[in-house]
Amino acid sequence: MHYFAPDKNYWGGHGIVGGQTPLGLGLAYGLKYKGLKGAALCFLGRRRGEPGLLLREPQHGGAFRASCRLRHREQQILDGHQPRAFVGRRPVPRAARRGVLHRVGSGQRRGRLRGARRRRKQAIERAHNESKPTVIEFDTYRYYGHSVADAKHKGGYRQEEEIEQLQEAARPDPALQEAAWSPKKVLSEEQYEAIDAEAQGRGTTPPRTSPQDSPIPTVESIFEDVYFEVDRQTEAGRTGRFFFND
Amino acid sequence: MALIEYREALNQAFAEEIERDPNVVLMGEEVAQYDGAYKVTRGLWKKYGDKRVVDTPISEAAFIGMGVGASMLGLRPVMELMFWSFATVTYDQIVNNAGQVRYMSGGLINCPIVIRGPANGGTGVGATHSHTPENWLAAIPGLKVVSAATAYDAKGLHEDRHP
Repeated sequence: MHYFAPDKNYWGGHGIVGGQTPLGLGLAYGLKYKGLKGAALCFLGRRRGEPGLLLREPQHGGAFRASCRLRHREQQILDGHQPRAFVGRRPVPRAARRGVLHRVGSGQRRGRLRGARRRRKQAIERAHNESKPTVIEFDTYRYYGHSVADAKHKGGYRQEEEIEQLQEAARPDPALQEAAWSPKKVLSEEQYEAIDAEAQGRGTTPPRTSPQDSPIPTVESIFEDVYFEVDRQTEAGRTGRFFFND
Repeated sequence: MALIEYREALNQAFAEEIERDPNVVLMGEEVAQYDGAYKVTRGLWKKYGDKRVVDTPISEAAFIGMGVGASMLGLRPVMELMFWSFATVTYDQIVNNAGQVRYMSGGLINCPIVIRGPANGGTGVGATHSHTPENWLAAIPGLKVVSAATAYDAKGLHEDRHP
């Protein structure tokens, strides 16, 4: 969610959960239409994908031979559910019966990371070379509710002891180290240290000026950064009608 | 001025736009091999082929959303809803994605899509196919809604370069 940077091929987070999956298919369709060698990666949580659209898109993707999609699953994200799935155990993969090709999540930590990497590579190559869709279901785990507005956002969504147990047993940092320094070395120790230092910096640097430090916007600025054509004075921006008084 | 049917005017507009812009693609249920449920796209699939005139599976929410995603990448899809009543099942894609992606992206992403089709009552197709939801959608920022009264307007509005 929340990343819109088309220059970096980030096509957006879309607020109505599940509504982004047809967009991902459309982007894949656009790649194929334009003859570009690419793959659209679309992420969604399991529960949001259950009704409706997820069932349709493999059909559409198959019909148009258009897309590669990765499915990201969050276990037990509904409030009130007891966590039946934990690291190392899996619920019945219902989505896997609907044309799903791969699941990632079983085995040891190192195996999971390698499996995720391998499956992703296979899916992208399949999209590049065959224009066929792939659905990958990942076992993941979240600590808290989706937002502070959710009931039981903290202090009830998970038992604190469970979170501590998970953090001790399966937090990604040592898992990544283990995978990176395995016999097949994905990363050198220096590369790992560099990534870690950069990540630490990002975590402590505010991404933007806080609202308290910003000047109060003027009334005249209300349409700034809203209409691309007007802001950049394209032909459409110069000649089209965008506002009520045009 | 030539005297032609409304659907013939649309057909001419689509053919001219397909010829003019390689990114224009017609999509919808039965628009290709069957020539359209109302024969609006008669002859276009035979003339322009599978790439430019595309039959979609029966899921408005999925294929309208697909058109929105494709338009974000620069295609100019012209999507047919067999009835505008079906906007209810793809309302999220029309309102939240087609209508709002410009705002959500701070003006970085455009969505040059046309979604068209008949909206009517009194034609004996039942209550669930007889809505005229264009007035509902006209209240949504980011969407431009037109209801062409004449064949002349219908053709001209489909060729509007600066809506």
